[in-house]
Amino acid sequence: MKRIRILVLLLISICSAWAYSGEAEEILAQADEVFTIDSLYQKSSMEIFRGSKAQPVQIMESYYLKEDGVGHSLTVFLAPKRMKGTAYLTVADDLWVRFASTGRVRKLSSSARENAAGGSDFSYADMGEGNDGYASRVSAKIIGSVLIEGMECHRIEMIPTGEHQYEKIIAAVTKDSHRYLQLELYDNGIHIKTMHLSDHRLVDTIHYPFIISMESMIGDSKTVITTMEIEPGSSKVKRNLFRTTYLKSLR
Amino acid sequence: MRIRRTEKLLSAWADWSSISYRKAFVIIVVITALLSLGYFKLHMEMTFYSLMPKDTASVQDFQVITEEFPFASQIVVVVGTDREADTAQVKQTIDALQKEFSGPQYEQSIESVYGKVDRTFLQDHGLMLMEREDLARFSDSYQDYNLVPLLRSFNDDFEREYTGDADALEDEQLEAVSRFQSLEVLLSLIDQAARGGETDEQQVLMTIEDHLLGESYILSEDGHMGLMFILPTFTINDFLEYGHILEIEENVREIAAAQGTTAGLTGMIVVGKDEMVTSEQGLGLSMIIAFTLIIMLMILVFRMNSAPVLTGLPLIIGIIWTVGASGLVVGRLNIITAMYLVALMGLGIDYAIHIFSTYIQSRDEGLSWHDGIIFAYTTSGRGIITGGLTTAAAFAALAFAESDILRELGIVAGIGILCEMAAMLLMIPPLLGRRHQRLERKGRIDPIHRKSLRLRSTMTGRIGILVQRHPGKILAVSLCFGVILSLFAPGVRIEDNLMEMEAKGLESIELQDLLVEEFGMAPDGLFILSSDIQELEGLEEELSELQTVASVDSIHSYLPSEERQLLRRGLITEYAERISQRPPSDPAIDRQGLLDEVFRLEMNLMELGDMAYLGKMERISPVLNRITGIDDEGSKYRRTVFDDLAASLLSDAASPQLQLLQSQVDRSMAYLLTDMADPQLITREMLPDMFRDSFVSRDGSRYIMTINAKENPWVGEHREAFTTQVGSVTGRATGMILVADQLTYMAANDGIRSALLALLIVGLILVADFRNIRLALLTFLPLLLSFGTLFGIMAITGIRFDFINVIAIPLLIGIGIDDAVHIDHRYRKEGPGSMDRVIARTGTAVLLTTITTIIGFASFIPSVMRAMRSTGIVLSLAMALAFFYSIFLHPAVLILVHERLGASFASWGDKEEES
Repeated sequence: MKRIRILVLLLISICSAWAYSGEAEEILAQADEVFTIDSLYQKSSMEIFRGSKAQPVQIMESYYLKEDGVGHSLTVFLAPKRMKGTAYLTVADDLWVRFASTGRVRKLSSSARENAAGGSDFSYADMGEGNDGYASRVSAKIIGSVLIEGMECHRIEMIPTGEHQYEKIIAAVTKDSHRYLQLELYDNGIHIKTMHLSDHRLVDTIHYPFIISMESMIGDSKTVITTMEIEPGSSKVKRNLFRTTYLKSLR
Repeated sequence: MRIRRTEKLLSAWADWSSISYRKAFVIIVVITALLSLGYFKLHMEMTFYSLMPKDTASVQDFQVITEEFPFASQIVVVVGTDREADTAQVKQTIDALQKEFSGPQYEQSIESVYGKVDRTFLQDHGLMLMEREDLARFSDSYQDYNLVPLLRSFNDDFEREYTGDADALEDEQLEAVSRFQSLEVLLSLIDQAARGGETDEQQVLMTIEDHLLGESYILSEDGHMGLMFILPTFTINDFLEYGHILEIEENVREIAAAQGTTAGLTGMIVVGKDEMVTSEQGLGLSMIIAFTLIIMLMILVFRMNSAPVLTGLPLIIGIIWTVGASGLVVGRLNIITAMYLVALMGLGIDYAIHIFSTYIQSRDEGLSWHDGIIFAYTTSGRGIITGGLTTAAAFAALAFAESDILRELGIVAGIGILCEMAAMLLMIPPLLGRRHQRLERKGRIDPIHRKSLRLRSTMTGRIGILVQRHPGKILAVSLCFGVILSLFAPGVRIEDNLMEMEAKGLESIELQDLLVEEFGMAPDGLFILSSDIQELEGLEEELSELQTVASVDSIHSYLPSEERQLLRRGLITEYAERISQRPPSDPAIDRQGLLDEVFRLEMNLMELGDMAYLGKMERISPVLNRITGIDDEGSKYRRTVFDDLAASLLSDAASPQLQLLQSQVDRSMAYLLTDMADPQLITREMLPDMFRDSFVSRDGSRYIMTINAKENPWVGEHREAFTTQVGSVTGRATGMILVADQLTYMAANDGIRSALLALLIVGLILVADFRNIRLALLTFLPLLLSFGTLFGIMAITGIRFDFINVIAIPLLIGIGIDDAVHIDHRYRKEGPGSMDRVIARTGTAVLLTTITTIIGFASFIPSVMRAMRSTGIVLSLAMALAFFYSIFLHPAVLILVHERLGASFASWGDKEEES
């Protein structure tokens, strides 16, 4: 009798864990909507803080296009003066850079995707990560609740199922509207960075975070990206932008 | 019954020992002799690792590192000039310092001095030290030493480098800086030759040496600073030898000044020396003043010139008993327990004050000296014993702490309190007896009778009247004060950066920060010991991948495992063959080809400059900006060697000097690379002293690996991230920063947990003593408010708890309770309506003990060491608060509860008798 009771309890806990996991994936799928735009133009500023010292503000234009399931992105720096004309092109896992000082284009190795983008706290992979969303690449479960900026959020633990630069991500997703507010990024056993998403504004049918910051938990630095302009489905996004020939033609 | 027995026992001892003082002294001598046996078991462990958890592999490794690896105790000499000065001046200073400190006059204090990296070893085994893939790339690049193919190979290499991994550039900034600088020199030599100038073969060889082997001096990227290492004959644990560091420091400054430069010392051993010096700075005078004030106070209040002797002798005997008993129980004294012995003097004197206060009061009231002693013991003895037991219990609660260091402190401190209390109770009656019998023999009158000063402080008398008249108002005001400040208490923080506890502006610590900025050297890291080089090679690969790790230095960089060397040997032999069969130096130079490669090189350096700017590589970016002439705005701001060289090469004038340079470069490259391509396996015996002292133990049995953190590991959150990540790879890392963790843990967790336990034990003692739960609970009120107020004030003023000032917690429990306990005992003796008298009499002793304790602790405040200063402030504040609540709030509560509400304070036994 006792054994049966234990088995029932086990079954109940397994079922509830499964139900929780299914719920978590559904929530993530909805939260990912913000990242699953097929074509996007964006102008933004990036400010890097080292300790209390702010670095020169970087202004950049980004173009994103998803075609045949492959993400393409192009980022062109407009400021500061030293960086004006520097550009990064990403097609799937490939990454190219155009140097403003010489106008030459070089291909970076795939491992460089994990390097800091423009000296910021974002890696190139962090920058592109959002374009694909998380739900399809992680196993997720709800591990609790948290209050962020007065909003009730689910705490969802995400463990990447394939190769990934982080070993674990804990997301805070609002309970009512299923928006990401915070992503804690873990690697080698420690919490290394936290991404904060705020100032959500309605763009077409999606609430888009206009301020995204990345805070290092292992150093005194923080990077804040503020969206200045955003145009989903913009006519500015053309297929020819995502070719190295276009990179070479940039002035 | 038990109470009466205690009083009876105390009065019997006072009676007998004051008369038969010689016999009493014999008993004391016997006790002292017995406890002195503990000295044979005692050993002093004034080492940093004595603070770490005992018997763990990590501590044992740290001990081996400290004692067996000369570099663990290195003195780092930082030589500097103003930015405009010539690097040559820095190099000259380092040479002069090396010469001076290698002299026989320093034989006693200095083992070795290193001012330069041994390039001969790198020249002899350079290729064997390269990773296999780097070796393959290197041998592909350096095949043809004619100028055009050589520059082409540099360009190919650069393009491969940055297309691969920008982080690699960041990790090896210093090496890259040296390479760029030597390249600039080579380009200027080409320009000189292209203009028809003759180049010096020796200078060409040196330039190629710098390019292939790196700089031999350890210089900052702009060359205005340099480093030198002095290995002393003593270790960081030999505190008594620290005087040698002062001598070295003085001479270093003198020599640097003579060379027109400046110099300072750093390294853990220098920080240790500075700690010792600064902890004494400002303390000498204040401690003398404090000591004099306490002596004067004792003479004045007790009206006896012999008062310091009568109290001082039992105090010293108490310390002797404490050390002996600690030897028997614990077996060792560490830095913290040894420091506590100083604090014990301040606590021990309190027992003497309570005895003497009652004794003098009894004499003032007309009792003889003998009756006075008995009265003092009957009246104050029980209070002293309860107070002593509560203080000892408060400390003894630390014995249940998790950290060894706090456990030992609890045991030694508990023993110390009991020994001091016993020494005072046992020794004061025979000492007073001897004094009076001598006075009587000499026919002199006791000075107490000649003085009109009465030991009933006007201040405490007034407080007594005030409390007696307005207990309600006093309770309301003091409760408001305590509760309001207690609301801020949760804001109190723990200091987790040991360097914040040091003196501000300490040169050795500022120089550590400079090492990070100018040389990319982290001040402290973690170490791993191993006797297996292959194991270290494997660990290095994993550790270098961690985000919190800046670099990993290990013996395998200079002595690769035999397995790896054998893998490299084939490539090296093959490359050595190629050098011998290389194409001859081309008598003609393709000027256009050279120009193309120079342009290509310029573009490569500009792109690297962009990456360095974008990646905020602060060491490399200014160097590349200067070489390419491009500022942070991306504008050209200066004429560069590229501009000069392009102009020279574009001119039609043929230059035979260019051919001469080409042949000089060819010869230099061939000479150096032939040496570097030695296929002989490297053995430990071939290592230069500097590398051996850095990575190999004195007996040659073990190797050390140093893991440097990206961020300052003394900052708590950085340290936690760093140690956690390293811990995910290996559990064998050790180092000074783990001591910091241990100490922070002690302040944060153990302190609080032990305090709660102490409160419980003290509560039980009070219940056993009073046999009245109500009175025991009320006695806690002043203590709890003292804690709340203290934490609140600390939170408001930003004073943090650290592992030194955390001692305030058990002290406050012990002493804070004591003050209230003395009031309780006297009040129960004197009865209702007597609170003015109780405060006037007992309050005076409590005031005196508070004043002496505050004077003692406040003497720490002038110290330049921030930890000592905060300890002085926190302890003085804690004592003042305990006094305030015990003298104002507690008596008011007793009056209200007992006299107004009619609650009984009688003991259970007495109640039974009453009924």
